[in-house]
Amino acid sequence: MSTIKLETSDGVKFTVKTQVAKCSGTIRTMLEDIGINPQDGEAIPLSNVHSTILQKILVWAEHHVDDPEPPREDADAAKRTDDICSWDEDFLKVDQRTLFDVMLAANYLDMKQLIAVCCKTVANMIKGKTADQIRRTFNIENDFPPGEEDKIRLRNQFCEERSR
Amino acid sequence: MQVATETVSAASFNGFPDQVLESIFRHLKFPDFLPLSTVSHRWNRLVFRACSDQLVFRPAQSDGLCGDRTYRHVDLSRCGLPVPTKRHDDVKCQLELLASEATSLAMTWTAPWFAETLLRVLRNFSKIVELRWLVGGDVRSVWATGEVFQEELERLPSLPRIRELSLVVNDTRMIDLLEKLSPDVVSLEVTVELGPMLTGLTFADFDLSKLRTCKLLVTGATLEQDDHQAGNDIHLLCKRLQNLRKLTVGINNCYCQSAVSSSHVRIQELELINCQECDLGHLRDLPCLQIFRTDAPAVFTDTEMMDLFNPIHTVSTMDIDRALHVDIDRLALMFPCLRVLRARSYADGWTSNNLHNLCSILDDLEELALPAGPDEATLQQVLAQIGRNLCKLRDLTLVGCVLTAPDFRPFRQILSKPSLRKLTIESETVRASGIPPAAYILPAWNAAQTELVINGTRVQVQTDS
Repeated sequence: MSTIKLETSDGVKFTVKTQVAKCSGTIRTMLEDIGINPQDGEAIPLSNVHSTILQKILVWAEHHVDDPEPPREDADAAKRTDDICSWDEDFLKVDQRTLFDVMLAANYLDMKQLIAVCCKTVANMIKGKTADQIRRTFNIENDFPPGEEDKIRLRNQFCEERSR
Repeated sequence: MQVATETVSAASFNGFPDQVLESIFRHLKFPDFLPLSTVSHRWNRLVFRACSDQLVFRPAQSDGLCGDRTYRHVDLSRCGLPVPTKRHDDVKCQLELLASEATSLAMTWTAPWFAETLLRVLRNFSKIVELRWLVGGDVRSVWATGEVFQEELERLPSLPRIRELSLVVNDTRMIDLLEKLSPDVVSLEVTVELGPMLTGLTFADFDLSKLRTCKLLVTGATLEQDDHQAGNDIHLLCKRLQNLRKLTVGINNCYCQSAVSSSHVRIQELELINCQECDLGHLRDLPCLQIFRTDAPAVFTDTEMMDLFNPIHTVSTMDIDRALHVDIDRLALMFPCLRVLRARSYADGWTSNNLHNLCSILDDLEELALPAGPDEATLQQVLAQIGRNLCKLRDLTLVGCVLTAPDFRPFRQILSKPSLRKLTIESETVRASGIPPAAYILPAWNAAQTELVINGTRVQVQTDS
């Protein structure tokens, strides 16, 4: 079975099955389109990913490597957030910083399925919280000048659900 | 303590690209995402970009709304656009800025200034593909400026490419004002609320070549039942609708139905609403018709006996759910290929003959809705006939079932039909008895395969029996 080497931002080298590494669209493109030859023994540099995060992502990729291509979902099915499989749910029971780092790395590595479960997980964390609770949970600065929030609330009052 | 742990583990979204935040927000449904807009400037902007297809912005006032977000769907019927201080004013108000990205727009506008407002909308809402417009008031004053309007329209650099156009007018000439928008229209809905005058639904200068669905409604009492001109207009209009697939007509005029049919328009779906009676014989002239629907209480079949030997094979759906009177035998003979029949208001009663004909001739039926009253004997008869025949039936609705006790064991044969997926039972006698669904006596059936709904409640198998 062919393997390739990946090098993380902190200089750690990983030897990974090619098939598993190809869960990443970014790596797949490098290998297939740009024609980087994995036999060269040269490691592919992943300058945006730390080794602790890559380690975690490889666990996920190893588990999902044989997943069939997901069906093209309609808009309503894609909105669901209650369909995260229990393995993924356990996998993402990590502290917030790790979750965010995994998400950023998944985005950099172009791993659509992993991004999707992360987005669903964060959406579930957001749901039902007030703006204030969200700001505290995610450490977001309130950058509205005084009075602006009230104006937004006024506009929100005029937002109605669109019937199709 | 709790707060401290939170701060330590808190990671911010600062490094996140917009598109990742947007894909998180896309998992939220209305109204869950609204509070997110007051988190920060960035969230406000991104939430509305990700979720704008889920909401309509429908303000009740037109000022004090400035902000950095835009809306895809805007309904200005409650506030309108501020009246310009002078004619052809090119001033953009806050509302127009908020809606500059809008793809659908609804407006209510009453004369005066109709033409001016329309010009403003066409100029400033260049991306709309869906326009709904309700024009009220007496619009005769518009005609003084009609020519000026057309000239102004010519001068616009480009017009929005409107695909769905919905108009409520009280003067049919209002429609002609929009003729220059017509080449891209695929869906047209026109309601004429009879006002000062009706000059006919001719759409004389409209380009109707791309039209796929069309809905024409005339409400109000001033139209004469036997106004021959109205029928004539419809006939000429239908002859021009060469690519139309679905036509809905709600004009209480006795010539209307034959006017549609005699045009031989190649529609697949016809809906006749707001009418008192209709004649299914006319459907023979529509060569591609598959789906027919009407709310008429009286539905006639061919009067010519010989036509019964010339059945209509194209029609597969017959929805006459409001019809009290219809000749079921003839219906079955005329439309032997029906896959869907809805006739739950049928009030002429079952005889062993018409029931047998229905169930044996219409053997392609997949969906059926019927009354099963007025007594228990009739119910038994209906159940026996359907149980013996109709081996493709997937969805059955029986209304008016008379049962002296909530004992549903007589439905056993039907529930065990291999094709059946859903059985809906409506029974006034059971409802009046007040007995809860848990106490119903049910036959044994494969509940995993067939859903059973009694008086609106889904009934499950009792596990203890």
